[in-house]
Amino acid sequence: MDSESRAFEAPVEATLTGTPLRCPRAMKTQKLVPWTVSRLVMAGLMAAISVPAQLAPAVINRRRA
Amino acid sequence: MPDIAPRRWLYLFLVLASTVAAVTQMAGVLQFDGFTFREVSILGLFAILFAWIASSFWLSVFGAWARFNKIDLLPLNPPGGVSAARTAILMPVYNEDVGRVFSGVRAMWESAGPDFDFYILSDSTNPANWVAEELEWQKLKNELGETAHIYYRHRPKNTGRKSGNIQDFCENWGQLYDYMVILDADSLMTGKTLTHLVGLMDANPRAGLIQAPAQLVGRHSLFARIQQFSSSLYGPIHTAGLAFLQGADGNYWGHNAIIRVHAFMQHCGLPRLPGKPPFGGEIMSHDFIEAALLRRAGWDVWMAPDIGGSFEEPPPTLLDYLIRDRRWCQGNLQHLRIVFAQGLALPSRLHLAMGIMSYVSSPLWLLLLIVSVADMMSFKALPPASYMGLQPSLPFSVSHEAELIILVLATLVMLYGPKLMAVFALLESPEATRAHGGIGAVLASALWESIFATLIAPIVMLQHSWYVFSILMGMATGWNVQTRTDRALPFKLVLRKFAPHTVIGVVVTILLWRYTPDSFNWFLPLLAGLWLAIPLVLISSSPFLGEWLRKEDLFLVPSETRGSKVLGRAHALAESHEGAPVRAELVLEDARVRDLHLALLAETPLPPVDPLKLWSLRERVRRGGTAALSRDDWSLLLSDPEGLKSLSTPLAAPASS
Repeated sequence: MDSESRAFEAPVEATLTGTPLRCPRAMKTQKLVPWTVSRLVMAGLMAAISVPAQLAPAVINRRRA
Repeated sequence: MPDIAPRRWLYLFLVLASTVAAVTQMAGVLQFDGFTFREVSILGLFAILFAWIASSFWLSVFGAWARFNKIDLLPLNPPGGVSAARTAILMPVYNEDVGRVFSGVRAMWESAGPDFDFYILSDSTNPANWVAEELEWQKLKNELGETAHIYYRHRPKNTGRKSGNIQDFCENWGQLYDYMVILDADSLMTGKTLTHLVGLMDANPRAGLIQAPAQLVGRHSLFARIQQFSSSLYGPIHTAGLAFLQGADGNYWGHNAIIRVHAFMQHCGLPRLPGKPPFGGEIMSHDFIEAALLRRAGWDVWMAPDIGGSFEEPPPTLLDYLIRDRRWCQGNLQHLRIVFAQGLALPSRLHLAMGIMSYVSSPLWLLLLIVSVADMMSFKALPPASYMGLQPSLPFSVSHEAELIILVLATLVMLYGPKLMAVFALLESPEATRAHGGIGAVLASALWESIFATLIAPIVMLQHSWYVFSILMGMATGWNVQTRTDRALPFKLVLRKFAPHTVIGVVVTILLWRYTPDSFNWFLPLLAGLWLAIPLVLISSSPFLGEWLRKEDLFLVPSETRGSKVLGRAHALAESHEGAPVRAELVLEDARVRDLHLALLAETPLPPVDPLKLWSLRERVRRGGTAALSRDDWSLLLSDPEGLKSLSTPLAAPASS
């Protein structure tokens, strides 16, 4: 037997286990929605469209008045 | 629970007010002949960087104030009686020094007692490490007996690195536990601290995570001992400032923290980011994100700055420190994609932003220096006619000397003020002062530490700037094994790695001396660090010098003067560990090693493998032995129970004869 392994001379038990029994349950992957250049551009475009769209009725109403 | 909002508003006000004051002063210096584009750039960069150092300065002021006024920094319900909770202590390892890992586990088990379950979660890809870990685990189990719940698990593939390793634990055994304490391969915690953390979690059901800041300990090289002293001196006011301002919006530093398992399992499954590394793929610096996700889900994340009994080891040399920083830099820059992610709390975004800024500030400083020098050089080159009504012959630094001196002084206060406050905070406690070697030793060590920190700052700045540039250019790094042992670096290696810093220092010196001789002295502290890069790295890596200065009472820390039971035990076990390295071939040569490996392999779900590949590998080993096997071949072979059984018999005969 190799001398390096003599420190570990205890016999390996037939029922030796490294860990308790597994009881599997998956972790749910979270949504982080990282920003990308295209997302930023889209957000800018949406803002450019939606902000005037929200303001327009007020301007029109004022003109009518 | 104290209302934390007024503190935060005051902090924000102080950072902004000091930045506005400094920027106004700077604008006064630059505007005398109107603003050029370069000067506007200088002003912009200066504003960002001054705000950055001001945020650190005021954080330390708040921390010092909290310390002097004995503010309760962890306003949680105190632990009750004996806990019925089940807690797992997780030690993820990846090709680490096996003796040191198991010495640490044993020392902690002896300190904590049998109430805790310990898991060594191996991701080791080195076959010899894998086999050695199994043998050490069996030895430890046999020595400690039935009461020791020490488990070992090896993953065939290290998917997701450390966070994947922890996720694998959670998905397989997480339901068995209320809490888990995450460690690093070089970190240690005392049983008292572990029990206290469990008690705090029991008494505060909203707490999702409590971080126990780790004291740097256990190294002998000069560089590491300076880091240990610096962390022991400045750490308390820094962590006090953080705890004082963040409250339940704390952060997670990846290890030495207790986590509520079901909160973590429900809310901290990390996604892969779209795209390729360095910005896409697996999230490298997972800890900040996990804390942010816990906060997003409504769990409290606390830091316990005064808990004690939490240790880790610093990198032994500046080179190792910078190698680690390359990974951290990539991990933190990857957070650029997450900092604006949906639903995160504002303090979590600030944690991410500060992590990013701790690396991005280096190229910004470099840019500020370059633009400033360019501005000075162009200033001299302008014809006198362009300063009508002013004094054309007076150089920049003289004509605004008073303002510039005020600015430099303000910057120095921002940079060195926290160090002074930390020294005062330490000297206020006679016991802490004695633990650092006494008043004289503290003052001398703080002075030398400041000089050393000033000299290495430009080296770190250049290196971080290169890291940021290379990452922005799309160059990704892996997650290599950290060097955790003291060693004097060889001259050739240091020369190769730090010659560029020295050359840059010399070239910049010549340019400055030639074109802006009047301002040359302003740059001396920066240039000196670059000139001395090679000797600084070389000398500071010396364990002999570190030990000699310890005998001279310099850079002493409490773990060196008073000792610590768990640290002393772990080091004694590591030193007495049998040194002969284990070879992976033992699995084929020694029936007991093989049986142990097969027993552990039997409970590991193995990934599907191409049968033809397996057959070919078995044939290669049968005919030519294991000498020519690559690491991947070994990984395949060690994950092949049938192959190991069939191969071990013929090889076992010559080995045992």
